[in-house]
Amino acid sequence: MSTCHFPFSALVGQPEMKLALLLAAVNPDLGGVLIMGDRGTAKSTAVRALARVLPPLPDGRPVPVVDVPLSADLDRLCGALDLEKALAHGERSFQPGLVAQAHQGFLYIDEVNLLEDHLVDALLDVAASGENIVEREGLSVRHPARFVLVGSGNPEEGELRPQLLDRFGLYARIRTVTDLNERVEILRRRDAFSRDPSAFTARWQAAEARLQARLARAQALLPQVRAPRPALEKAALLCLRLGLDGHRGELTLLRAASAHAALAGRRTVSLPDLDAVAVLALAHRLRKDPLDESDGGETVREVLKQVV
Amino acid sequence: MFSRALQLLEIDPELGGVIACGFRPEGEVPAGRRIPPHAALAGYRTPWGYQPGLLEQAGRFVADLDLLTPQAQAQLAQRLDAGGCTLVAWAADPVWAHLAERVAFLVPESQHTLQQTGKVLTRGGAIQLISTAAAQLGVEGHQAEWFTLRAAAAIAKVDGRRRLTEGDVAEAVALVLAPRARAAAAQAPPQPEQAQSNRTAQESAEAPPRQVPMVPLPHTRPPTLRPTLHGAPVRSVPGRRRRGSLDLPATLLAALPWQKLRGRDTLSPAIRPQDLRWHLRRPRQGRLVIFVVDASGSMGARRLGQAKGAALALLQQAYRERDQVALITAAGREALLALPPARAVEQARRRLLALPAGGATPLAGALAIALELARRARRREGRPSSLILLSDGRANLPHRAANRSAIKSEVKRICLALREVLDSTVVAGQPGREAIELAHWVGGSFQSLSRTLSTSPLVPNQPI
Repeated sequence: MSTCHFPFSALVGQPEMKLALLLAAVNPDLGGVLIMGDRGTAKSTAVRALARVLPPLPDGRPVPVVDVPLSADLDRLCGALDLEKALAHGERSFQPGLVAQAHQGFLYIDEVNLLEDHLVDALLDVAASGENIVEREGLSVRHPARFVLVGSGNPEEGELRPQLLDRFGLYARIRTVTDLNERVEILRRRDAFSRDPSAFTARWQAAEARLQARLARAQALLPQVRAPRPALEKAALLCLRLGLDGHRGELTLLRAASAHAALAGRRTVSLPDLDAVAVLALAHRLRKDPLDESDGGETVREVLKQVV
Repeated sequence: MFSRALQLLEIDPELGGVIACGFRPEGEVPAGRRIPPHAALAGYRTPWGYQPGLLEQAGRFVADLDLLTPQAQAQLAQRLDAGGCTLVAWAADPVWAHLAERVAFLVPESQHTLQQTGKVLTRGGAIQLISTAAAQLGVEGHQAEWFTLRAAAAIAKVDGRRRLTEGDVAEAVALVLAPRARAAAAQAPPQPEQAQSNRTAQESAEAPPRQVPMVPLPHTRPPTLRPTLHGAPVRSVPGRRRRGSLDLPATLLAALPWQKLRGRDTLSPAIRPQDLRWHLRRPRQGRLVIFVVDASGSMGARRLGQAKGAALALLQQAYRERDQVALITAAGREALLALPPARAVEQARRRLLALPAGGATPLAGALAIALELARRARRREGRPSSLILLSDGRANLPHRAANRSAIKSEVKRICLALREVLDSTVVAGQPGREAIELAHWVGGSFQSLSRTLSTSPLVPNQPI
């Protein structure tokens, strides 16, 4: 079955989304990725494709991608009392939820702005702490749940509440590709893939293997990456100029820049690393005028130019 | 066109589905699993095992989208993603975009297909043609192009041909891409030059001014917990009769201590009505904000512009708080529900801007519609409602009352009924006896529209 997935390297365009996903794969502690933009732009394909490229888990399983159905309730997400066991055997046992399945992998929510807020909140809590704690119905369970939360949605349906928005680490805007050649290439590759999946994936195998090696190297390198003083100063200054509330912005910016350096195979964070990830890490944290249709990306780029 | 789309869907189920937009395809609907409103779409746990939901089956689903809640439509969209099924549906209202993205055919009423063949194309040539058409039509995303290519292939197959022709691609573009281009064009903001030249002095005065009055969105009471089916469960209450959803673990815990007395053991417990526990839930986030905009002649162009500006600002705020919005206009001969309750702020914005002015004030009629909406929201979803009334309160057209002299008492009667259902109300308008009286009847506060605040965070910083 693994040959039947569209290769990550074969995706055309959407550099923001691809970079955000790669960074989150290198450092799952970034706090999740929110992908907002037009429909039909390969959001879920990208998440699935990335999981296929990642080096398999220590026990040999492929990296899991778990979809959150919009009909899910808290029991289904975080786990609950196993009713069948309770009734059939009188045992009080825990039935793990989707967050347990997603451990060491991805938890993907399509149309995240339609999931009820209390559920998104619960998921962000687990994602941030890396641990799922269930304390109800006489159960007291805690188990590790380290996963990359990926949410996607269309801003026309409504942005997430700012409180939730701020908790996502990276925010990638995606747009319909307007370049005709790229459009043709998208359709051509998708057609080639659907007509002969195995030949298509075979053609991209070398690129996928290179990407896998790069990701594995970056994951190994990440703990050694250090940020020198000038990089810290630039990060702090940038957030100061943008007038961000709290310090989550700086932290995420530095973590993302470290992941970016690790992807490039370097042990120190350079200023261009910060530039490359600033929009992803900060644009959604700006205070926004509700009727202003421009996105925060422009503002971040402006300020980036001023801060040297 | 509808039947042609069905034929192609039959050949290639990957095309997702067919939605008839704005008409009901009588007699043409094929057999399939009908999705009734309020059906259990997702599976759920029962003490006797897992009960699969309707959508867990495969095959063809048939639905009247107007009857389905947004949540149900979202579930349907997710189901289409999973594959192994197709959808045949119809909708009077604009099709919800999440669903539209997942079906190839959005069929408008009365269009016939063009039958032509033309030059044979290479696969690459067909792809080039389709991408160019999509780019020219400004189609959003890339899924539709994919559907077009598949549809063209299906058309060739229906006609028993192996190679694609220009005619196949043209028909596929007409079936798949063209309906999406219209939607995109309708959403595009009007060109400034055109808008300027079409505008008379009267109309430009009606446009929302840059400085809009600040009208605060009314506060809501903290929601009361209710035994409904939606929202976050907070705790459980006992009850012998069905109310909302059963809290199974709590029910079992309540039953287990009694098993000895009931002559059973905990492995096969006997559950009695007094053991039943029901979820109390915090109602689904968001309320229904009903805007009633008085666009009658008595409001005057300038004040209507202010009212529009205020309504727009409130609309954005309501959106951010995940409220539903509905728009009722009172102008001319009768009150109109311009936008039924939905989260579609973009549509509300467009309809508000297009709102014509002038004529009489069918205020009583507008309030009667608001009353009906508020009652329905409470009954069906346990959703609280707020009313924002932008009016000078000078009603001059009766709703059901026989003569004009009864207008005032009719308005008062509806206001008093509204007071019972509404969570909060703001009346905003020109200070005057009528408007203040109206606010008093409906139990809300009065805000003057003449007080403008230039530094308000709600001021739009670009012309809308």
